[in-house]
Amino acid sequence: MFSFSMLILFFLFSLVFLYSIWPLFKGTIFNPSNSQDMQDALERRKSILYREIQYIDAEYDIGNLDKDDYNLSRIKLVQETSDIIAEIKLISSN
Amino acid sequence: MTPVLGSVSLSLAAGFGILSIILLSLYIRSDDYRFFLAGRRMAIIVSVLVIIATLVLVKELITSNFDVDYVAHYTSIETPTVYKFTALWAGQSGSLLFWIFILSIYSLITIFQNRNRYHRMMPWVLCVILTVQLFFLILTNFITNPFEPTNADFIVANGLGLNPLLQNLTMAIHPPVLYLGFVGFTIPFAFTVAALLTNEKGSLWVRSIRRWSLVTWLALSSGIMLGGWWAYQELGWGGYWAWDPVENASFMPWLTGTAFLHSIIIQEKKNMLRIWNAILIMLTFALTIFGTFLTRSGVMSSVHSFTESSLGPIFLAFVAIIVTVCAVLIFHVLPNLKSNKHIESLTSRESGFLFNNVVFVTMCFAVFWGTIFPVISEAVRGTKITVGPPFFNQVNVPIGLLLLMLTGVGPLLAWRRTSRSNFIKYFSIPIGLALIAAIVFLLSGFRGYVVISLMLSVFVVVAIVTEFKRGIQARVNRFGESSFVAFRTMVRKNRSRYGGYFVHLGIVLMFIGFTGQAFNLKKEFGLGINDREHLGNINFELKQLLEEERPNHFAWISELLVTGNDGNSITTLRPEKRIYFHRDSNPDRRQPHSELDIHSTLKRDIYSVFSSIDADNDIAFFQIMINPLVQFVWYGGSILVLGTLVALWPSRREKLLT
Repeated sequence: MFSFSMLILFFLFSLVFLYSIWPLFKGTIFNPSNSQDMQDALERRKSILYREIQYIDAEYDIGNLDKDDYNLSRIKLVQETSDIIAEIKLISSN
Repeated sequence: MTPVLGSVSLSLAAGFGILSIILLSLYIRSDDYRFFLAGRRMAIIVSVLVIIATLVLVKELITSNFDVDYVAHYTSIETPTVYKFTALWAGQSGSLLFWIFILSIYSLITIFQNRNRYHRMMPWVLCVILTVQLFFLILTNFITNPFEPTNADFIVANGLGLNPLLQNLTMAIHPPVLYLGFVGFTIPFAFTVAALLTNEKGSLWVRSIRRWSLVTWLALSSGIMLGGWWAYQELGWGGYWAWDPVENASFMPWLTGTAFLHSIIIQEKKNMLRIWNAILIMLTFALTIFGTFLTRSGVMSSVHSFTESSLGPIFLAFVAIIVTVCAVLIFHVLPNLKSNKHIESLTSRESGFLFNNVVFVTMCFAVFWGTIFPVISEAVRGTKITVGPPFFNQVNVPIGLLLLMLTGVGPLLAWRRTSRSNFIKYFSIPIGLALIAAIVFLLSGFRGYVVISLMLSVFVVVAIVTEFKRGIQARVNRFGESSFVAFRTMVRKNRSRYGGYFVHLGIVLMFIGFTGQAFNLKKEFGLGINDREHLGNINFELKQLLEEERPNHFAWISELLVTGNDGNSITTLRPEKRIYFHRDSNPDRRQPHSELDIHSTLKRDIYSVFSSIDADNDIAFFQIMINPLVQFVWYGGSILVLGTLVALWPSRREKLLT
């Protein structure tokens, strides 16, 4: 009984091992690494910038930001957002 | 058969772990994606094997297979099933297996969550997680194996049973929750190391760890509070925090983790403090391993030392390796991480965050020093100098009050700089009301830290309420919304900020609870049937003394009638004196235990401990404590948890992004 269970275990182990090394026997696999990571980073930055614009709008309304500071920050954020959108479009079109 | 399955699973997991690291390293060197896929699959298998091993041990514990030494040591036939399950983390080898079990679940979540993301960072992330898994797998395979067979020439008919202190439902929840927090910091640490090695210093790194850190911090906070709750309900000394080394071990990573959660906001919004954030998360992870060392090594005498072992040097070596590798890494990437932005004004929110970080880290250092000083003094001078609560209170109370003040100051400061007019406008009401409160407290007879703490509590609450009010008002003015809709929308649109404010409110309530300790009363006395004693303006009368034999213990149950000075009944308390393993023929193995009873109201807790009994003369000895405002600590803790959940809840845009 014990040896039979051991045999099943050994069989299962072999299957698992084969499953894990299977990709090594395939041909070359496309590495999605760089372009997708960059796009991810840009998408993330874009979402942060959208949130930041909303945030400084709210801060200005509350009175936590001077008018000059607010205008300067908003122009910078909008500029950076539009640059990033352009960059995302460029990567997508490639 | 099944213990063998557990043991084999652990051995295979170690083997697969090594193979996985080799494959991932080959991918990093060659950029051949096949190595990454194979390495990732092996990482999944490592985690699955650890989960299988853990389930096997749980099965052995529940079915009371005393052929396994661990099962025989920590359970007995009489142990209730729920505590047979909790015995998984009661002993050393089981708790280490439980450590890797949680890490394995986290590892699987990380792998599946990021299967199509962070392609450059993931190989490094997996390598770091696997290295930590391997460390614990080496311990559980070669040094303290939970599947070790019982070392006896005869059949073990019954086990030794679980420590009575651990037979408490809170103890069934506290360790797993604390472990979720402790182990969880491995993932942000892994992403940080990966980000540094791949030169990723921007949004991806912040995105990858922000939510993980918050979830982990929530688990750690909840674990610490549950630990305090357990100590208060079970240990019978009337407190919830004793500056015990093991408590400190969980508190230190909490402090650096909290500092990190604040400073990561600066990085996200201003792209500053990148090096500091990396250091903080590395420090937090190193402190979690150091905490595990304190808990498991037996170098410290502690109420939590349920296990003692020779694992100390191994853990210490692992901590030393982590610190060295991190230091080299930081030094190596330092020039790339430097930000060209600077803090412009001392009265800016950035300064507030930075100052808060400095205070958190200072507090962490003070706790660290107080915790390890006995070990250092013993190593250097040969005598162990104990550092007790007076040192920790003396050092940490002022630092804690400073942090409480910053909790209120931070939200009132503007980004970049706060103009003089705004400073006066926003600070005058909170400061004014806090000063009025201080005068009222002084006139009421309060002195010292009590007045400062309550005054600062008023300041923080007013500051936060003012913040909410200003936010609501701005929306009402701009969009014409009703106050309720404005409040709801405002919180929904900025969950992390307003969730944070809820957390701060919770902290204030906890400080009010801590302040109550200044008014604690305590008395010990013996009572015969119908005898009376008093403490403060409360009377205690022993009405009955019953005996009861239960499945795993014998109990004397007292019935204490509690009345006020006016004679009105307040409650009836039923503290118990128990003897565990009472049927054991060896009297040395019988374990006495006091099961206390507490009457809790918002104003005060009446805390009763049945400390001993003179059975011949029917005299019961009690320790009674009156602890004001303790409930504020638990309510504050609950609000802290709710606030963190608000901050964690993903917004619609985040849901779309993921």
